[in-house]
Amino acid sequence: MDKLLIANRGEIAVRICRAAQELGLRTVAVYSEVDRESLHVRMAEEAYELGPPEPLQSYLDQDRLLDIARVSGADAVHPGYGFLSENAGFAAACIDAGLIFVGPSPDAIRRMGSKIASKAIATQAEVPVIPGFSAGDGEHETFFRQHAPGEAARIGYPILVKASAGGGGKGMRIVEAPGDLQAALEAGAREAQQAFGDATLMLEKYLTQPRHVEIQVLGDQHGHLVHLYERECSVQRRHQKIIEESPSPAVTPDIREQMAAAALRLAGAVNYTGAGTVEFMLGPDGQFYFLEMNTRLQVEHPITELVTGIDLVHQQLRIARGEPIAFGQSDILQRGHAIECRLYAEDPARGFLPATGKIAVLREPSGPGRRIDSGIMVNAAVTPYYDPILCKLVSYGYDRHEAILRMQSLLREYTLLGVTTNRQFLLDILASKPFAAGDTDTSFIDRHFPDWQPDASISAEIRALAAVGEMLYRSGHFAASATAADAVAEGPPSPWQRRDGWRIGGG
Amino acid sequence: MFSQSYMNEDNEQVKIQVTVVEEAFKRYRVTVGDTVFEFPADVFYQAAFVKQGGDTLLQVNGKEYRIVETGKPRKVGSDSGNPQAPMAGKIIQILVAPGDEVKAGDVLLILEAMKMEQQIQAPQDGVVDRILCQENDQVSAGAELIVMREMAEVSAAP
Repeated sequence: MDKLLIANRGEIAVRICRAAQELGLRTVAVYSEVDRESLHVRMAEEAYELGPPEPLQSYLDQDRLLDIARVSGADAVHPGYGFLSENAGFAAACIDAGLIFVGPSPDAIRRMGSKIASKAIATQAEVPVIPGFSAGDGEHETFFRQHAPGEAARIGYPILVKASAGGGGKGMRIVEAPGDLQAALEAGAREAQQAFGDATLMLEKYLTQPRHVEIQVLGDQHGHLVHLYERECSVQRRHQKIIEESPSPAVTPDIREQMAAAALRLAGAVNYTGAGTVEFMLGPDGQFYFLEMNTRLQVEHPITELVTGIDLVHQQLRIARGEPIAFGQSDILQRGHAIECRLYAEDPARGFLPATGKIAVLREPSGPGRRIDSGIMVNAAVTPYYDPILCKLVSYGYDRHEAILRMQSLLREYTLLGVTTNRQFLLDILASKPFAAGDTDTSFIDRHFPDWQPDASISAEIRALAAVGEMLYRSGHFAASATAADAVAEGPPSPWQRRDGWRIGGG
Repeated sequence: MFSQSYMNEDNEQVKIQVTVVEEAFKRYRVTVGDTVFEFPADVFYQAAFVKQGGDTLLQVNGKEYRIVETGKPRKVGSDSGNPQAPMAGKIIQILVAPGDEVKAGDVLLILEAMKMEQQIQAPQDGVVDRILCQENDQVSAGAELIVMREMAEVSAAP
């Protein structure tokens, strides 16, 4: 492995690019028309344009990606997360083209990628599963549609309608009563078709007040399989995670041991290679159920890296080029506490509506116990075409309390103006009593922050500060770039910097 | 000396004056009405300021503020009563046709942005007059999507 094509964008493309460069690989970035001026494009040694912004014509265009791999002379492809990362056909096409696919085998992706098949494998591996209903192989959508109402009644409401392919909450609907089932099936199928190119749906029992806990695993091509403990990802909005932590405040040593053993049994059942995650629902009674296996790197992988000290992207690349995992299970320790907050371009005060715009001011602070995985830079546009994640703020501390304190100060200092973000919402969650108590389940936001509004009353002091700003702005007396780090992130000076944003001082 | 003013909640004009206190350009003195503030020149060390579409955006002590320029119509959320795109995105499906009677809360069309579907609902009972978009159109935030008219207008028509 010599040259890596990174088939992704945003913060994860930057993250992978960095790891690849650390291991001495040359890197190839790809971008859609609207991503031409992006951090990941600037970081890679080479970059190729994919096409129009729509994912199907850019980051999901397999033929184009394989063409770029050939033209650039890349010998390996890292799919990141989302997009083609769990597409077995793409993995197989890479291998057929003589490329190393950084991920598990197409067979493992296929078997785990179908929530239906993966449940059967889990059952066989004696991993507990949630009751549900899905059309088996060879049965058509009409069969599913016909039987869905009866099966939903058998499982019992509330019911979860979800896409058989993919994850991330796309195509997912909670149905409280039989009368709402049909509409949920239609909307879910449409969303699934758009997000994954596959409209197949399934039904599942919807557990109330469960926690979402997952186990990170790593497998090499020599039959070694290890786990890297759990992450709890219960704090979610619209079924998408926004805060994750490791270890989970609810996982006892006993649950941890059982859950990790179950994850390893499942991964072993498909001869899993590379980095993968086995997701579970953990009930208040300590019972856990297999949810799905994500056959790729997770968004929240940094918290595992901080508590174990193991770089998961390095491991992915090493495993892909055939190296055995250099450590055993007993070498992997879970030490301290890590928290991740996903900074999204969205408005929590308006139903988490995605926000677009231009990043006018950006400051990404550093310091002890802080990590920022960012894919953005000042003056970059946030467009409506992709997932609204801007960056991941990660804190690490001796214990959970210290990690929370560090996350609060990181969120306070992190400065982004021009695009609405969920930063203040995250800050309010981190400062809340239920979060401090570890009272997190998947209904956390609905229960504790149902009608959140930012405290944005404008005092005389704020008026006064704004007036100072206005004066300096009008007189042109402002710094185009405050810190050396910003200067690098901003690249060559542009007229926009002087006209649209400024900041005094530096960090 | 720099001065500006704003209207407070009681609709009174409040004057703001900024003075640069000369001693080696070290401090700003700001009077807001009768209140005096003094800030060191590096007051923005942990803060940020930017102008956006006439509005002033500030981040101070971890809090964000938007000071809206008064007297200018706001692009998003105007009260024409006609459904608008709450965010930039693509029209996935139009569920109504001109002439359809709809009730408040009925889903008129579905917009997709950042892979999330957003149902655009009728703000009040009424009749769909005109549809200003087509399926697969890319629309910007605040774009008017459908023109509605009131039920009464229909029954009054010949």
